[in-house]
Amino acid sequence: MRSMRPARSLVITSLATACTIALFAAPAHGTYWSGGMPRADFSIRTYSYNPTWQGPLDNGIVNWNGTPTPAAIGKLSSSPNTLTATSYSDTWYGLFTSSGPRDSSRTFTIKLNSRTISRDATNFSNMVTRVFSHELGHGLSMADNPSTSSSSIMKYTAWNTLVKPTTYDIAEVNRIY
Amino acid sequence: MKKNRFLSLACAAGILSLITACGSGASQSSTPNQVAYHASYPDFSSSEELYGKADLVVRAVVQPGTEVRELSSGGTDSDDPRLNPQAGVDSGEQPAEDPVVVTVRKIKITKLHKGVGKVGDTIEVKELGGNLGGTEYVSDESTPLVPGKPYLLFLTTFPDQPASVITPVQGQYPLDGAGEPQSLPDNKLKMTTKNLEQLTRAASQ
Ligand SMILES: [Zn+2]
Repeated sequence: MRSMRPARSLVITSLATACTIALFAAPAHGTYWSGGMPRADFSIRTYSYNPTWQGPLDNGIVNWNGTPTPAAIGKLSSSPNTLTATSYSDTWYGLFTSSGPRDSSRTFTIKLNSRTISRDATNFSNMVTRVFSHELGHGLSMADNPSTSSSSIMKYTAWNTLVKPTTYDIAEVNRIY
Repeated sequence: MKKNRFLSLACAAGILSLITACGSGASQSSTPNQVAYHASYPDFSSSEELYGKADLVVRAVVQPGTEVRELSSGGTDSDDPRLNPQAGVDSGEQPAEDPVVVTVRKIKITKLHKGVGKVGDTIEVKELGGNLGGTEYVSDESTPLVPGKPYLLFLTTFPDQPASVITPVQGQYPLDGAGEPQSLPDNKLKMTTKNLEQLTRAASQ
């Protein structure tokens, strides 16, 4: 029986370590954001924009749904979660708003700012897909600007070139859900 | 054996409480009266780009007092399909307007580096989030301007709404005792008075 003790204390130590890591390794610049959705399968209300936006927006959803993750985003006319793309008098590219506790009552809105996106786009359709994918990444509980050397659509860089969720993003979603 | 059973129980309880602590720590989510904002911004690669894209560059002192407002998008009537995603589309399909809650402060200009304005002018600057109608709108990215403090600010101005710092991280530089701008911790761009004078000179040529 004595030999059990070290094993037990090892279990406790590793649990404590895991806990410490989980608690403290995700500060402001960590990868996990508690404002995301409780599940990786969620809906967004059907939207309708001009062809300059519609296709690139749809690609943002298709790209996430094509990843080997539980992410499954469906368009639904009755969804409480919405997307609005228009010109906002502010400086952000995208704004993700999360309301309610992290359970089935949680809803979100995504706002995309055509003013700043048109200003900074060098490849317009790429940038629209990227900003929308990034915002959907918040829905998938990922925080902004993760402090990793890996490439990620959650970073504030390469808005016109990095369009699809990366290996890092995929691993993060699989870790969270 | 008794001792062992006690140990097992203690361990189980310890593990349980650790798991519970872990769980609650990892899901400090918004309460029903809290709304979380997550805004995404450009990351300017140079001070030239930052200066070039700002409408207004000023040294200013933040005035006391704040006002929380709900702002609508304003939208656009533009025919440009990039600027106006609804150009040529039936607007009946769009979701209802969902205003953004902002906190508005006044700043008093002490030096104008770029844009329209003059020393002594007071202008409004907005930040995402604020307390409105019992609901707290919380923005993770904002670093609120501190009343009474002097700053170098890179702003975007709007005809219909208060100005905004061009990004919360790269648009504001608290001035130190010598009047030199200090970058916020996450800002890789360094800004000096000399650097700013060079940018102003280059822009006026
Ligand atoms: Zn973001």
